Amino acid sequence: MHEWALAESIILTIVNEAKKGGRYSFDTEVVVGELQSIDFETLEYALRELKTIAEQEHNISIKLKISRERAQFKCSRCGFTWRLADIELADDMKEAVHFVPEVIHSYMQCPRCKSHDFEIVSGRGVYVRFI
Amino acid sequence: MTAIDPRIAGMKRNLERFKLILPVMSPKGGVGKTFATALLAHILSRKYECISLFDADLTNPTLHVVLGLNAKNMKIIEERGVKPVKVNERLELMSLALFVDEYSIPLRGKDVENVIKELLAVTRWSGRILLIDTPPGFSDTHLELLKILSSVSKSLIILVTTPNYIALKSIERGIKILLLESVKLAGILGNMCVSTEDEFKIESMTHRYGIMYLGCIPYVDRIENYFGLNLANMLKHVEHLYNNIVKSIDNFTGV
Ligand SMILES: Nc1ncnc2c1ncn2[C@@H]1O[C@H](COP(=O)(O)OP(=O)(O)OP(=O)(O)O)[C@@H](O)[C@H]1O
Ligand SMILES: [Mg+2]
Ligand SMILES: [Zn+2]
Repeated sequence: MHEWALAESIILTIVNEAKKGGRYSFDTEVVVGELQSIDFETLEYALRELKTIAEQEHNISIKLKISRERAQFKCSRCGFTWRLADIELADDMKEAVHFVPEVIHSYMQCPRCKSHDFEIVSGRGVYVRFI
Repeated sequence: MTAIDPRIAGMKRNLERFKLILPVMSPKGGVGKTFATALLAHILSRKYECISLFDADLTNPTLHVVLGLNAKNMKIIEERGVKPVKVNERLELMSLALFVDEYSIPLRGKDVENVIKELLAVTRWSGRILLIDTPPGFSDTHLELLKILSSVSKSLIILVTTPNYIALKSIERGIKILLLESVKLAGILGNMCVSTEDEFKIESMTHRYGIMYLGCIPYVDRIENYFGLNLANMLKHVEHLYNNIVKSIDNFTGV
């Protein structure tokens, strides 16, 4: 699963921080953007599995909190803003966007001026916050 | 509180498997980067194990077309990430065409950066050499790739030009700016040469800059006939390229 690749990258990021030295406990928040429609259960499961391995291997403790972020867009041509919930996407388009959120530029238009030139303001993908 | 992009770690891990990364670039459009990338993949797959290909021409990917793949039959396979599409037993390709084929993909700079990171973070390659087709110019895609590759440090850029006056003028600009940086060049590959005079124009220019001349792909009428499986039939016409490219790579990897 693609969620596994994301989970691996997240845990690897924390392990890399640990390798820099001096820190053994990590309190982190994994922020998951709505646009990628990540399967939460799979991601949580993968993170839990990989976290246990990393904790043992590197003698660290990791606290993970997962949160969601809504997807918002802003038209670069006319300035209109909208949310993902305001539009409808076919399933095959959703699948493509799941892997590479930016392909939404081929499939979605500004609801006001029909432009494909918009900015993904929030809720694009996954990032990690160290608390 | 700091936010960190986990793709950076994922990308590095995925790229570390390659012993060599070859971005194919040219400042001018239409000189044959895409065709050369596909041909090089076939050439290299004769000597080296599986060759991986990445189409970094994000807004208009066409490498799959030259490789003879129909985007409609290209399926996304998930396996702890995304598997590249198999071209044959020795070639594999990752391209945005796997996700959008019918439309252009309009992207601004920040999107370009995101797509490259995303694809490189999730793609599970099986090759040991990675060839990257790039769009023309020297902009977001190239800068992002050079940034990523500088942290992996085993890349050799292949520059492509035709004997055309404007193409030569453009490639000289590219060479001059690249030589000021710490990037390494595999050499210059000529394309669409119709005479020894054409070849000489390119070769003498490369010597002026102390760069290796890799040879020239001749101009081929109705080149579409060579797309796909027939690319392998073209190899006998470019035997000299094979030797030069292998030499350049072996020099670099210290074989
Ligand atoms: N050796 C050749 N002989 C004849 N035609 C060629 C040759 N090489 C490439 N072509 C044709 O020239 C055109 C441009 O080639 P190609 O798309 O590979 O260039 P490119 O540098 O990748 O272009 P772009 O800058 O748009 O990405 C294509 O139609 C291709 O089939
Ligand atoms: Mg091209
Ligand atoms: Zn608009």
